[in-house]
Amino acid sequence: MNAPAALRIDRAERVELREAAATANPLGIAQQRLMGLMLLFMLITLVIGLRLVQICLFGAPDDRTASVGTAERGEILDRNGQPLATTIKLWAVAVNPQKILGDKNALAVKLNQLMPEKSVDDYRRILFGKRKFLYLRQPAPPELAAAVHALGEPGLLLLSEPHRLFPQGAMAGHLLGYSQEVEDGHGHSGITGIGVERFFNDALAQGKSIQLAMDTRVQAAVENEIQRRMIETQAKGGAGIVLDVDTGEVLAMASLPDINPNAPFKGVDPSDQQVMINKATQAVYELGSTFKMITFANAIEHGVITDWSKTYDVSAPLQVGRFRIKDDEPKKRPITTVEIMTFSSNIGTSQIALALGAQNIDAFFKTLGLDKRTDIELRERGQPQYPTQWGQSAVMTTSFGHGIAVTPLHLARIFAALTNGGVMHPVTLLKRQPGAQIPGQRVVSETTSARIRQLMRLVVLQGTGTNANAPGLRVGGKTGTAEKVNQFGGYDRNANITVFAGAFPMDHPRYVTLVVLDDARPTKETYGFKTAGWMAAPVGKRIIARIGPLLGVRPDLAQDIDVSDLMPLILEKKDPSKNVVE
Amino acid sequence: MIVATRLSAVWQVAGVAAAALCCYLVSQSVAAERAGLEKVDRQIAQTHDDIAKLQTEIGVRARMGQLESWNRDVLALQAPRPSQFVASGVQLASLYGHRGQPALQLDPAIAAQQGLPTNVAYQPAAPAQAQPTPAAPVAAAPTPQPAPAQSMLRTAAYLRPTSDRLGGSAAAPEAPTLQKASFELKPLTIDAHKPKPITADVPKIKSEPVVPAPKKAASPVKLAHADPIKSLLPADIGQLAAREAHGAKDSSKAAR
Repeated sequence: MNAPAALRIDRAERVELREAAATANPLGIAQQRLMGLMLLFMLITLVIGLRLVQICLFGAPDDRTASVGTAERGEILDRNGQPLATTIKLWAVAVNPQKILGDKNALAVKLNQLMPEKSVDDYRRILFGKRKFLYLRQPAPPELAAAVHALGEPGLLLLSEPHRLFPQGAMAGHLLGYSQEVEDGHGHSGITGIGVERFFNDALAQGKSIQLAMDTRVQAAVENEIQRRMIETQAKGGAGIVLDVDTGEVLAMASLPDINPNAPFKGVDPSDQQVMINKATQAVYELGSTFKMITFANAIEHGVITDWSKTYDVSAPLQVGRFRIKDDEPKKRPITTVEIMTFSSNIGTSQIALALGAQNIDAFFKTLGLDKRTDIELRERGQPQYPTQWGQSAVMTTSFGHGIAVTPLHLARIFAALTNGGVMHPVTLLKRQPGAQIPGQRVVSETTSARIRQLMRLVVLQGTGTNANAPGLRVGGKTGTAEKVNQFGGYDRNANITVFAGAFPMDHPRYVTLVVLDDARPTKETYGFKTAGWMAAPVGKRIIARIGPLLGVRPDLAQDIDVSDLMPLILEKKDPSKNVVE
Repeated sequence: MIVATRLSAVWQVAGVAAAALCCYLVSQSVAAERAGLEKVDRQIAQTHDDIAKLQTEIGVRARMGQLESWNRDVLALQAPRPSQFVASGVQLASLYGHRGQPALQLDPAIAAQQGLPTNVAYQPAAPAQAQPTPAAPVAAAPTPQPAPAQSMLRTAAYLRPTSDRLGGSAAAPEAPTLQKASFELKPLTIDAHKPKPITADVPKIKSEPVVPAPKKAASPVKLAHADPIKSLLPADIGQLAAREAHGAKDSSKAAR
């Protein structure tokens, strides 16, 4: 009724209009509609097809798979695949006080019952506070997590967090180390830490596992025996290394007192950084008479030692500048070249060094890498204290390991080269694959190496190292004693650094074992002596006796290296069963 | 025909709809399969997690420090001594049996089938007679003489005094009456010019019959400068084997 005039068309007119339109092109309209419908279906089909192609080619995005294969920090494994460091998920209990729904006073009491390290008042302060997140226990045992969950309070948060775990506890603490992110106070963050965790941090963070050359059993034996000896001799510290002479792999590396990488700072005085120092790779020591082997190898190579029956007068000390070179066990008779080594005569070795000359010694030391850091995969690598001037005193004192300070790892690497036939391999913490080509540099000839092996064996059979003679394992080596450098840069006459560096079995050396004791005190068992033959050599024997069979070296009393050509040149024979430290 | 022509559009629409439905069903099927795979993946990851947790727990509970502590307090195990390694067959044989009794009991089934081995000790030197030789084709082997019926498997055993067996008795033990070993080792010789049958390096047993001679008639071989046997530990047994071999050699020389 109120419709516009244009719409008020009578029925007859509308019928006419409809008929006119229908008769105009009815089939065309139907076809257009059908075509449109078909295009719509085709479009839908196309979309479905594209979707199928996308699923087939790229997969479906699914949030549920996000938790699968999340890159966790990689593991550190020993050479036999045993985990040394792994990541586990631990519960943590946290609270968001703003989301607490129940009675906060009652909740504080319940929390105090579950976690009594905080008082009820503490919990009340937390729950009525304005913070939005606070850890209550991190990590939390599963039982506690279940009990907190049972409280049913949405403001209490149970978080599953990754946690780095070192299953062996404090074993190889310095070697495995730790890695953590720290802020420098200016908003910048960085990585700090020590050991393998720090050195391989990037690879581990990407989820890659690191397989070390270390053998857990050998590491445990080394640490245990050094620890035992430290207790017996009240030593302040100790270090030990077991090295494969043919591959340069480090099978064990101990630095005691150790740290527990699970909680590296627990019980450690933050101002005392000494405990964090890796005594095997970072601390440098004057390693004493063990350097005589290096001097002898150098002298054989340069033709200074050709006649082993040649005698040297060692009856009187040598005065060089302000140094007075004397022997621990003075001999009032000329001694043979072999006896210089077995008796560990500083005077005799100094005379050989003088015959060698400064240039030869400097060059040989540099060939052996004594003037630079080792190339092991650690950031904690000590810089040797190398002589700057090669005067007569330096020539003589360095020949028996004074006036030059290196890390124990330097010496272990050199002993490996001297015994394996004369090739120096780079030391590595990583396991080498069987058959892999190992880089090496020849430093002495095969002949020299063979002679050095004889000398090492003689030192253990008849010299200062008899206490290192593990039965049947054909141990050879050299002891070294040096007075400890005190905090003022002088020598402490009452404190020694005692070293035993050896290899076994000497008829075909496979492993170098090195032990260093810091300030070991004489005992009744050592008859008051505090030299390396009484302090460090027994540890060497204990370690080798334990690890030899583990490493496939069968003890055999009927087998040994042939030293028959040198043995007659030792005029004073020792009774092997006398004064033995077990 | 006309109907079909007029309904062709309908058929086309129906066909497209059916195709779309099929595609949709395929899509659903693929999605279901993928979901199943993801579920399996999650289960595998969960199982790996469980394994890792258990291994970690085992690793922590059996860490070397803990084992060392148990060993120090309870087990007291030590590194093996050289004498605990068997270097030769002779030493191994010396570990087997004592006073004619086998150290390890044989399986009853085997014993019933093959008979119990004859236990023999090292026999004292007897007048040279024949003894069965090993079956290996040893060149220039002596002609075997008729031997008493005897099993090929025999037990070499040491006879040692009953007292002080564990080294704890203060009573003076009787002199050990070790009997002479009746074998000698022959080095393997290979002549490159004269091909011969390969002769195995078999201990050549001297032609001596195993006659149960009266013990008193046997001249006991005293160990030269040897202390009475103190214990039954493998170390001492190994030394005993060496000494006995030495003693046998001496006595064989004396016999010649």
